[in-house]
Amino acid sequence: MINRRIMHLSSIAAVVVGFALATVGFADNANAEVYYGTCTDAKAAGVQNITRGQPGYRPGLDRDGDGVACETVTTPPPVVTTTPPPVVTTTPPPVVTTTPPPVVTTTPPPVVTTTPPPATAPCNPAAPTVTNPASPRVRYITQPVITVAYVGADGPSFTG
Amino acid sequence: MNRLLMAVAFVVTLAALTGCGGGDTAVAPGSAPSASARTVSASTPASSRVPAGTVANVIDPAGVVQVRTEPAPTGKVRVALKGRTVYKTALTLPVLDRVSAWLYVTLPTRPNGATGWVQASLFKLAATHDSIKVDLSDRKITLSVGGRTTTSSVGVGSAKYPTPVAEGSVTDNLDLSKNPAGAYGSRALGLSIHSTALTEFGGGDGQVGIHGTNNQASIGKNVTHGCIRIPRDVEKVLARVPVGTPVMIAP
Repeated sequence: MINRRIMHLSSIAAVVVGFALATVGFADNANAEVYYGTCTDAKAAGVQNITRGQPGYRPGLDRDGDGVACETVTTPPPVVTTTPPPVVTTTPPPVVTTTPPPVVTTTPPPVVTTTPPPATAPCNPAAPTVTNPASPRVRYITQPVITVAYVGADGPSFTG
Repeated sequence: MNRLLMAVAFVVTLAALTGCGGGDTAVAPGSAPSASARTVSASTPASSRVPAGTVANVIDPAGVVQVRTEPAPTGKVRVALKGRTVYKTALTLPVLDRVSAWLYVTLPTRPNGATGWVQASLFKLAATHDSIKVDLSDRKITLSVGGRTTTSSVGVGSAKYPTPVAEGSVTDNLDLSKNPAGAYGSRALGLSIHSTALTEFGGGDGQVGIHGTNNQASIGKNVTHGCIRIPRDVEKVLARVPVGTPVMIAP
């Protein structure tokens, strides 16, 4: 960049010198301006990024009409070189650091709520198991002694 | 994204395994016994679903109890039992098993050891803690009543009218104190056991009893028609025997 500017200044200086020479005696060259047929010519002259108003600028060399002719594609390179680093270094961290939290915080609830159903389902068979033995464990009253007064004349008819 | 899914899947799987492990260990000990208990009790009447010594006392002695061959209303009626014995004692049946609303009980009818299903709603359950064992070859009786054991010589059936070898229960406890000098002494127990040699005796159906006697010399001898005679001093023990007490007559 610096070199280019230096070259640019030198070219301007050359033009100024030429202009001075023209004013001195070459009247035909009074309208002499810097003209580049193509950007290749401008580049060959060491001139690039000719802004509007600068010598050599003309709309024909400014295809995108942004006021800068014979632009060097400087934006893409920086984009390519600066973007990858951020992409590589900043994207994974967000993925690694932001993904686990959701996993840890959102997964346990479903796990906790979905585990009980299967836990209670197999526990159901155990419930009757608990109640089944429980019923035999019920303590019945002790059978009371109840006698019947036999009043028959001949006595009971057991096989004496 | 894949990492996220895998992480979620891993966590879920881990939790599921943990849950299953805990559930299995919690269920396994309980389910296994219950399954085996059902199998055993379903195939064999004597089950652990009712404690030993459980008896069923009929709620309405004035009614009739249908005894069925299956624990279902559609089961064939094996016999209909009156709510009272011929001596007016309320019906009491030893309980061997229980299936939902049905009790598997031993019957006071022939043949000895007969069983059937009765509706549990017709009975109130109680527990017996006493027992009576008669040894025919030794002509001995062992009464475990009220925590005390009494052993005595007894008179048993003759060779022609032997006392049957059987298991049953006490159906009646008769107070004969109005005629203590009679052939049955002052106390008699009716059993659910019947003579196999007699189908009728003294107007009865050959029911075996344990009773006193006015012939003390017959004690220790094979002289009766099947009944078991006890000496006079054991009559007071018979007086404390609850109806439903299990009786085992061994050869």
